[in-house]
Amino acid sequence: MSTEENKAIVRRWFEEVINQQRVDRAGELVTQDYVDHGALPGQAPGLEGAKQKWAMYIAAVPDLHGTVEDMLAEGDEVAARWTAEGTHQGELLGVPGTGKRFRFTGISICRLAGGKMAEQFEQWDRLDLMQQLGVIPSPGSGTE
Amino acid sequence: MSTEENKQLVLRWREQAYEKKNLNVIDELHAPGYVGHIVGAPGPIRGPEALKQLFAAYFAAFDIHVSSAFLIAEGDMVVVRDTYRLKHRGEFQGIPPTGKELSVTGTDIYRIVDGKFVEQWFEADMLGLMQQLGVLSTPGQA
Repeated sequence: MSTEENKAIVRRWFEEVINQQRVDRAGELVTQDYVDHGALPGQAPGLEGAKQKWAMYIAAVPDLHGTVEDMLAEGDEVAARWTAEGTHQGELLGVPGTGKRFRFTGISICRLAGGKMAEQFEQWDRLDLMQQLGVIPSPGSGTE
Repeated sequence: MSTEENKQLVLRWREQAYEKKNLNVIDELHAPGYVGHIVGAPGPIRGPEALKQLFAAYFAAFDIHVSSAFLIAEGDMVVVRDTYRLKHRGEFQGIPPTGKELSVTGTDIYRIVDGKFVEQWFEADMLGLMQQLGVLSTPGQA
């Protein structure tokens, strides 16, 4: 697979699975034995676990939108810098719905095999999200 | 600059900053118009002097060792994913030194023009950092 084809797979994940909420498409983009290094506690392994995670995220944030800001690829690896935003309606990472809007950034690295994502490492600031949801006080917020 | 030269620049930066603690290399390796989008900072870090101050604050608070996993380059950008081993030996965000040893992952994207860093995005698990310092419990378990 070329680096352009690999980037297209990652772009499809954002556009179809996340933004169009087509979790059913995950099997076209991710291997059965997919390793998710951003797995949530209790997440099943592989493709099934990835589908569970994203179905949960979308249920918690029905207007979830991911934007790819930059993407680079080399060999069988793709890195994407992204922004995630939405409204926290349902339980997310153990936090009941707050109704708050959030927006945060992250960088993900994916390793592809046979034209599908086989492994991913995500990096984003969970502290920032928890502060935006009001679960953890922000510096200078007056709640400390 | 080739992608190989860009990767070497990133590796040299890491060696000088984290192993040699040579923050003066920032002037050599960062463009005057450098902008850093750095996790935990209240706004963009503009210019080499501001970056030196940020690093000086972190080095005052922590002994830092970094080991890099992924190193990916295309065009004018390089991505690197690191594990940082920290020892909390100085005040950090009002927290007196705990002596604790922590491990935190971080991922950088650098944009490089003519052998210098012009822009950087750095993400890291600040929640994990604060939890390991003992400052925060895990949300939802309070």
